[in-house]
Amino acid sequence: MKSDNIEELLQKYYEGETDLAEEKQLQAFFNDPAELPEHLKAQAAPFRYYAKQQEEQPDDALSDDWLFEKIEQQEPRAKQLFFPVVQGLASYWRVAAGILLVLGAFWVGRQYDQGTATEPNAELAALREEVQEMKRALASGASASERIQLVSQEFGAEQPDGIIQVLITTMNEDPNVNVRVAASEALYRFHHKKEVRQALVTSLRRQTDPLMQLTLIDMLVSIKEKEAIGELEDLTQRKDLLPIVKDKAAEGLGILI
Amino acid sequence: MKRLTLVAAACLLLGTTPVLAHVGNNGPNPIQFGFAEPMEASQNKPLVYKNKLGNSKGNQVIILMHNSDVKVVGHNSDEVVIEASSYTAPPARAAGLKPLYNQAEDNTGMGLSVAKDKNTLTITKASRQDGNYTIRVPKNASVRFEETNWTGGDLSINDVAGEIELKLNNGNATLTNITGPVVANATSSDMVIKFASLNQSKPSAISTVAGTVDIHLPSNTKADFKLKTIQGEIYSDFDMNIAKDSKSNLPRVTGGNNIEGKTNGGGVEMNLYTISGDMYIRKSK
Repeated sequence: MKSDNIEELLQKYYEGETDLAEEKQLQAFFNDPAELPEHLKAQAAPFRYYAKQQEEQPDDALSDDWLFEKIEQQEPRAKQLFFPVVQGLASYWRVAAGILLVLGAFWVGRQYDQGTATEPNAELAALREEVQEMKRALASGASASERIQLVSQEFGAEQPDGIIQVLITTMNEDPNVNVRVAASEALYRFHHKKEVRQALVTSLRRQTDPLMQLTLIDMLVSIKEKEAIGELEDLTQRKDLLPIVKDKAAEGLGILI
Repeated sequence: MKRLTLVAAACLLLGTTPVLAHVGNNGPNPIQFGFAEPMEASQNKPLVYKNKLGNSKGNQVIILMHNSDVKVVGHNSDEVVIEASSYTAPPARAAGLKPLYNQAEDNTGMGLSVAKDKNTLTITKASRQDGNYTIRVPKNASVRFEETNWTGGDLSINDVAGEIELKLNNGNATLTNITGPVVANATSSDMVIKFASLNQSKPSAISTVAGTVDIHLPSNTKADFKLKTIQGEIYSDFDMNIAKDSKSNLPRVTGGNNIEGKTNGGGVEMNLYTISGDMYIRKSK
């Protein structure tokens, strides 16, 4: 082999443009020290090193083959060792586990809920008791003063509808005007509730006492209840009303419309 | 025409016969004839009716009255004593007949019907005639007075320590030496209420459409006043401590003409509500 040809190849090799056959040619050339020309000896060392490395068997520990081998060996073994029946029914087990998980979540959720809800439950029960007591007291001949006291006691901001119902009934049906006024004032504090506003409007139609009519007109105007407009118009037309009530109704209409 | 005269004559005959007969029997006092006990009638004493009722808080006297001046006085006894000083008995010719307008049964001989149910004694006017009654009630019993129509008649209540509830139309009321609570509603009655002290356990509420409300309270009374009048004015010599508006320094009047004030630091609730009547809240002298 001519050395100038080799030089050319070397040039190509260093530039990374040689193909596999040419590299083999180079390797063969440099591995034969006898024919090496003097100026190319320095280049020979790397090629010899590559050749030597190729001959060496790499250590097992450094190779990944052992791992693949192990996997290939174990797979059939695993299939036979762990629950052979289970493997066949794997999909069913997955479904079962899924259901269990959902049920478990429900159970935990419920436990948690009960844990936190016991306190409000007790409060609610106490409130129900209070509502019942109120109903009993209002129905069974408590004196007017006691009834006023009952309806104008402080209720919390969030009340079961029971108390509101009791107040509405009292506002509409109590024989004493003072109690009715007190009940409507108690209801006024819940005027953000739709049912309360509705009850105030319907009550205006029922009430015949001017004190009560004026109280309700004032309330409906101050909460700007548009649904009261029809009712107020009726009041201004009625002939059996005290003039001041008519005036107030007209004044309220002026504000609402 | 002839027939009519005949019937009229027959009626006259039937009507006068028993009257003449009774007048003859009873002598000078025909008014109470047939109802009062003969002894009282002959001595010309006021009629008295008594009924036992306990002198404790749970007891109640309900008075349903019209066309009568009534004086209710509390006394230290467990009896209800009713005295009628002027009472017009039904005409003698009504003997044996029942009145149809006023169907309450007169079981006292003074134009009143009295019924007792457990610890409640109900006194109902059983006549359309006017009357004048003094009703003595156990001091601690509660009193409920209702004026049942518009024929008037004034009421006075004295020395009652129990709760007082009034429903008046146009009769005036004067309450003296009471402790309340008072729950009163009237249409055009003037009410003068003189508290000896104010019961702190239960709220009072007084409302009227066109009447005046005049309240006397001891100057050290603790109360939370809630006052409202549509067209009237409120006069008081109490320091009401009404919250003032920080900007204008004017008393703050909340929505719907409500004035809320406290006397002596506040106490039991006292609601006063009138439409055109004025209110006077004064220190008792």
